[in-house]
Amino acid sequence: MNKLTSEKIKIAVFFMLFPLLVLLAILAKHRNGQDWRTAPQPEVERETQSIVTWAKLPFVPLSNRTALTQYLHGIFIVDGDQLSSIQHEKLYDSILRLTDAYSVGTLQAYMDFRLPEGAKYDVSERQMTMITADWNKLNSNNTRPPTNDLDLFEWWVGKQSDGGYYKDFWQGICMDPKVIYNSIGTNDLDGYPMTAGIIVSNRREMSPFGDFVMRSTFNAGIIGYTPSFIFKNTPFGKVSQDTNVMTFSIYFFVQPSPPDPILPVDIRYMWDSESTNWVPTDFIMGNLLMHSKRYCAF
Amino acid sequence: MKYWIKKLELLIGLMWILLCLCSGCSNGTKTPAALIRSTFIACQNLPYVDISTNANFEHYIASIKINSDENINIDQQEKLNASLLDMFHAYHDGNYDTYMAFRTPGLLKWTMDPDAINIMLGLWSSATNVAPPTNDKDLWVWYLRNVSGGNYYKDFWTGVCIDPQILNAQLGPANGFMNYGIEIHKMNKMTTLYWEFHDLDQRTNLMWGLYYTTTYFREEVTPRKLIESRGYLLVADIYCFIRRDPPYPPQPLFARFYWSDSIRGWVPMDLAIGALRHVGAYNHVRVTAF
Repeated sequence: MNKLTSEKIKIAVFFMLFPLLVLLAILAKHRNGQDWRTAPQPEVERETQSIVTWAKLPFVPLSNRTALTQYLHGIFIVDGDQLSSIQHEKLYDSILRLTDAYSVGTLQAYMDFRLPEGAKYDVSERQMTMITADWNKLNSNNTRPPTNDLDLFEWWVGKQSDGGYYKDFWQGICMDPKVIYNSIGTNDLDGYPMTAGIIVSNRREMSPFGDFVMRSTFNAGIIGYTPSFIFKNTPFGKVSQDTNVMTFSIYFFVQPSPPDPILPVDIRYMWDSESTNWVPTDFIMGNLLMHSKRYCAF
Repeated sequence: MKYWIKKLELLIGLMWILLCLCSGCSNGTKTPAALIRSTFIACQNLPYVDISTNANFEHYIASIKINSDENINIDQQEKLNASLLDMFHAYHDGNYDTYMAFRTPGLLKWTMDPDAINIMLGLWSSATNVAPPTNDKDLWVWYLRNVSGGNYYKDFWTGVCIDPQILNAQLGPANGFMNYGIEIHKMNKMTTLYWEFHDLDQRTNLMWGLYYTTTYFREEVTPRKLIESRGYLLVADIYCFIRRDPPYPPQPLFARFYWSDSIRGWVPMDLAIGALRHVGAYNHVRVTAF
């Protein structure tokens, strides 16, 4: 009888200890083994859901130039009546140069977008220092970086595009705000109103673009690019502005080549009256989950 | 029944062994959590010297041996000590002019970096509803006051430990970052602390999360262009620990200065500051401007 009781006690102790041991083992694993970078993150889960939704948007292929041009001309431009005829015409040229830059796959196509003809510019010393350090890290032999800043930048475009100058990086775009709002609503996951399409502004004070984008558009995890060039005839990087600045901003979605997910892209252009061209001054792109080897140079 | 009980006892024994292996106590080495904790305590217990205007602090900085294979003259040594004093006072005294004496030394010709102006305008637009200042300096003065907590870093840093022997003895080796203390060397290729440390920072996911500052000032001839034209730059690397204002924990500080022939002085070039990971969240009010 006593022996039987002793066995029962052992069984009872075991059943009490077993869950405790399992619990301790789990705690020990989490205390020492969990990497904070791979811990579950609600933002990433939300972002994943956003990408699933964005993938359902109708994308216009960049390969059909005629269809793309017609598509762009069909988009209502908010406050577009403030544009002169030449500004209006060149707005479309600028967007086409942008889509070429990330699909044609040549350095020339990229540079046509980045440095529009005739626009005067300075290089960003901060960005050139970063690119030089990048060069020096990759070239551990004594190869010196190019002394010409433009050559240095062009090397970097090749490197950032994984050597292909963004050949077919972007395959399609969705820019029509009516379609975007109908498909995915007018508020983001935090309840802020979203912005899509082409918006013209003609004001004296320039709002910093990143700040505006973060508050008001599709942005769960954005990459703001430091511009490598500062255009002289724009107020970028200047505190005071004597006259109004004509800008247009585009907020749209890009369908990249696999395996990259759908990307929201926001770009602002300013009007350079001397070169009579729109010059790209701000570039912001989503999102957290992009594990691409290709990074947009800007 | 007895047979199954024996089996269960054996299973429990095996689980205990497994548990010990999981928690790392079987091999006598410190777990990452324990290592972080002990480093944190060691940082707190370093013999910090108060940052002050009295002679003690000046003597302390001057007493640190400069480690260098280069031919450094007395003028360069004394000016480096003066630059270090300027830096420590910049983040302690709570005075705009003291900060600027560190950041834009001597007769250096500089302008505000255009990217930095955009960053400052961004902060301005999110903090106020009025039009921004109409000149760079007013915007910078506002920005520095804002990010320093309204008092130009009054008592932001309160003490320094820069003695390499003490740091080695109490914290162990410098783990591939700079050497502790002050080291002067020739830099033959342009690089930044970010590019030097970033991979290391990511790999050694144990203690220091580094914050790399962004320069707001641009010299007429930049360090990049100096290396390009001359082939090298003489730089002074500083790796020390700073005691922060309570309740913030001590932080490692990495600073780099370069020698400018044009002003015959050292110019601050780069700054990175570490924060201990995993030892609790600190809601920092003040951000280190550079």
